[in-house]
Amino acid sequence: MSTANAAAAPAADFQTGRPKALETHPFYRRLINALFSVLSLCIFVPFLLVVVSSFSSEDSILKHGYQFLPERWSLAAYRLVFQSPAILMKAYGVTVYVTVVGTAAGLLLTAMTGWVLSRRDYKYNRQATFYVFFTMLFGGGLVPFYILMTQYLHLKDNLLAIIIPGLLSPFHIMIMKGFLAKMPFEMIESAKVDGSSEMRIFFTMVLPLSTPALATLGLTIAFNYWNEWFNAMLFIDKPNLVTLQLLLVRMLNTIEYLTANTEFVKQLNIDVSHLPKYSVRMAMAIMAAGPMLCIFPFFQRYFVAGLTLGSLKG
Amino acid sequence: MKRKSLWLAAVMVFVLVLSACGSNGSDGNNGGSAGKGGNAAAQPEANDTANSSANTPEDTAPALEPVKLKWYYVQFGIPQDQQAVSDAFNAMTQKLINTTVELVPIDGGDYENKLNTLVAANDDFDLVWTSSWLFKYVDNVNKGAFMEITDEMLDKYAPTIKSSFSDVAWNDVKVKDKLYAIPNFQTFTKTPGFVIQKRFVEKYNFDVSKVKTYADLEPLLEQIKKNEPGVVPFAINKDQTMLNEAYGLQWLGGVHYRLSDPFTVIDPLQTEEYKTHVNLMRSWHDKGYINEDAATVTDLKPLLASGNVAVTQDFTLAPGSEAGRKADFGGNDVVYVPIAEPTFTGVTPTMNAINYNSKHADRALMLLELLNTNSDLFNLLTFGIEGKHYNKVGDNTIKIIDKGGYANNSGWIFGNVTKGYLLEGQPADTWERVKKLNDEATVPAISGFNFNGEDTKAEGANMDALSKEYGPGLETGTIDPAKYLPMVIEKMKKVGSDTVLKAKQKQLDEWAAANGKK
Repeated sequence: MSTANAAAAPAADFQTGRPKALETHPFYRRLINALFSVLSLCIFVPFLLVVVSSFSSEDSILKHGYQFLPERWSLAAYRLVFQSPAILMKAYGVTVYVTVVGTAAGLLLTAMTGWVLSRRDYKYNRQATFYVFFTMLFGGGLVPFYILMTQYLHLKDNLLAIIIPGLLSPFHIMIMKGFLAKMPFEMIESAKVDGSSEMRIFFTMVLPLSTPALATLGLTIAFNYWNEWFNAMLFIDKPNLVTLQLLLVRMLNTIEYLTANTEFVKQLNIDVSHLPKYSVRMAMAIMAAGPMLCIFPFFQRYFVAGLTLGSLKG
Repeated sequence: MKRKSLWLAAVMVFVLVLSACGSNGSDGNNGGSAGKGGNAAAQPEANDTANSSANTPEDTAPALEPVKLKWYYVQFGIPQDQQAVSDAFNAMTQKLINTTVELVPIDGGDYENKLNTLVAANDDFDLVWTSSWLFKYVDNVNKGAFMEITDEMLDKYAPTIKSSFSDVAWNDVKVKDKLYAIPNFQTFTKTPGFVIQKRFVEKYNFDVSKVKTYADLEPLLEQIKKNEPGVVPFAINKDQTMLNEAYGLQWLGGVHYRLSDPFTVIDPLQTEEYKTHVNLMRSWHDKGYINEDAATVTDLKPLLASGNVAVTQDFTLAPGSEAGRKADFGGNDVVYVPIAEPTFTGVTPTMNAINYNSKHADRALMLLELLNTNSDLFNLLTFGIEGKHYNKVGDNTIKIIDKGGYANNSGWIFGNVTKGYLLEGQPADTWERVKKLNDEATVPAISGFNFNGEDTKAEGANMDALSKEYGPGLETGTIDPAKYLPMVIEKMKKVGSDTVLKAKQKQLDEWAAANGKK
C-alpha cells in the first residue's frame, strides 16, 4: 500500500518538471516543492518507523513503544522470521510463484483479448466489447463464485484458485484495447499482404510495440497477485499453500479479535504466547512490501507514461 | 446498430436469467436432497446400530460402516505439524468408531469470513466450531446452518456429554427450546476483580480482602504514586469497561440490571453508579493514577510486561492462573482480588455444532462423545504426540516442547478440558477447582436470556458508535464527565436508547413469563 502511495510522489515530481511557466517562477516552485516534500514525508516517516521497529530489540519496544531511535538495535526479529516459521518462507514461495505465473499468463491473455477487441475488422467487435464491459457492472456475487470454484471446478486447495480469478480484468482489457486501437491498422494490413499469420503479427509486431502498456499492466497485475489474500482465504485450507499477504491479514485479524475479546480469551485460556512479537510483526511487513518496493522503480518510467494510456482515445 | 445491441442485451439478460435459474435449481436440489437424505440416512442407521447390539459406541464399533467426517475448527496459528497429529488421530478414531476425520483448522483471523461463505454455499462438512463471539452461534442457528440435536440423539450417542452439564447449561445453549450445538466443558464462570502486584501489596501492607470496589483501591494507588516513580498505579486500556459488579450491577445476555433487581433492565449510562465511577476515574486521571494513553491504547500487554504496573482490572480471574500471569507482569508475582462471587456466564463461548447438510450426525456426535470420554484421544488433539510435541513431567502434567510444531493447547475447542493433561506450573488440583467453581457458581436469575437486537438494529448500531466514541474517554477519566456525560446521555436518547431499553425490557418480561421466572 505504501508503494502505491509512493507512486504519487515521483509522478508529481515528473509533472512539476513539465509546465515551463511554473518552473520559472521560484515562488511557485518552492511552494510546490514544499507541499510535496510534506506529502512525501507523511508517506515516508511512518514507513521509516516500521523499518526501524523491525530492527529494534523487543525489550525496547515493550519499554518505550515504537521509536525512531530505539534503545537497542537488534536483528532478532529477522532471525526469527527467517529461521523458525518455515511457513513464512513457504508463503513467500507461493506468492512469488503465483505472481510470476499469474502475471505472465494474465498479461498474455489481456493483450490477446485487448488486441481482438481493438481490431476494426472483427465482426462482433461491439458485442464482444459489451460482453467484457458488462462484467465490470455486474458480478455473480461471492457465494455463486465460491460454489463455482469449489463444486464445479474443484479448485479447493489448488493454487489455480488464486491465479485464475486474477487473470483477466475487464478494466485491464479496456486499457489494453484503448492502447492497441491507436496502432496504425495499415501496418497490420501490410504485414498481412506480406503473408504473415495472425499469430505472427501478434507476437512479432503487436507485443513488441506495446511494451509501455504491457509494463504498466504487468505491474498492476503483479501488484494484484502480490497483494492477493481474499481468494487464498476462501479456497486454501492447507497451511503450506497460503500466500504471504494472507499471513499478514491473518496476523492482523487475529490480534484484533483477541484484543477485542479479552473476556473470552481469559475465560477459555486461549494461548496467545505464540502470537508474533512486535518487532516480528514489523519485520514481516517489511518482508512483504520489500520486493515490490525494489521492483517498482524499474517500472516507474513506463508507469508514468502508462497512466495516461488510452486517455487520448475514448 | 442500435437494434443489434438491443438484441444482444436481450440475449444476455435471457442467459443471465437462465443461469440464475440453473444455479438456483441445482442449489435447491442439492440442499434439499442433502438435508432430507441426511436425516433419512441418519435415522435408520441409528436404529440399526441400536438394535444390532448394545448401546455403548465402543461395543458397536466393529459393526459400524466406515464413515468420513469433516470438521472445521478455529486455531490461533495453524500448527505446523498438523498432518502428523491428524494421522495419529485418524488411526485412533478408525479403531474406535470406524470413522476417519478430516481435521481442518482455520486460522482465527479467517474463521468468520471463511465459515460464513462455507455456510452460505451449502458446503458439505459435518462438524463446525462455533461460539458466542466468533462465527456466532445464534446467528447461524437463525440462518439454519446447524442441525438440531434432539434429546434422543444425545441419550443415544453422547450420554457422558449430556450428564457433564447441568440443565442450566443446556438451557443456555438452547435457541427457542431446541439444541443446535454441544458445548465444551471448561471454565464457564467469571470472577471479575483486580490484579495487583504482590510486591506492592506486601510493601504497603495493603489489605486486599477489603477491596470490593474501585474506590477501595485508592489508598494503595496514592502510596504508589507518591513512592514509586515510574510505576503506573492503575492501568486499563480503551476496551476495558467498568466492572459492573463493583457497583452491584451486572451485564448478561445483552442487558444491564441491578443484582438486587435482575428483572428490571437499566441503562447503565443513566445510573448514579456510572456517574460515581466516571467521576472517580476522572479524579484518578487528574491525580495521575491512570496510564496516560488509557483512552487510546488497545493492547496493554507491552505496558504490563514492563513490570511497571501496580494494579489492573480483569473480567475473569481464572482459578489457578496466578502463576501463569507472572510473565505478563514482567516477572512479578501477582495477587488476584475478586470483587464478586464467581458467576455462571454461560457455556456458549466454545461449542461444536453439526452442519445441517451433514449425513453423519450420529457419527459426529459419537466423535464428540469420544473426545469427552477418551483422554488419550483428547490429549492427542490438544497437545499432539508425546515425545514429539510434549514431554510428560508428572503423572498428569506435561511440558510442551518449544517449537515442537503443535503447541496451541486448544482443548477448549475439542471437548472437556478436565480430561486433558495439565501444563507444568498448573496446580495439580486445577481441574477439580474448575469443576467445583462451575458447580458452585451463582447462576444469575436471567441466565439463559439473550436479547435479540434484530428489530432495533439501527438504534443499536448508533448507540455502539456513540459508546465507542465516548466510552473510553469517560471510563478512563480522559474527558470531563461533568461536561460529557450529560451530552452522551442526550445523544444516546436522540438515537433511540429509550426504544432499545423498552425493547429489552419487553423481551425480558416475555422471557421471564415464558420461563416462569417472575
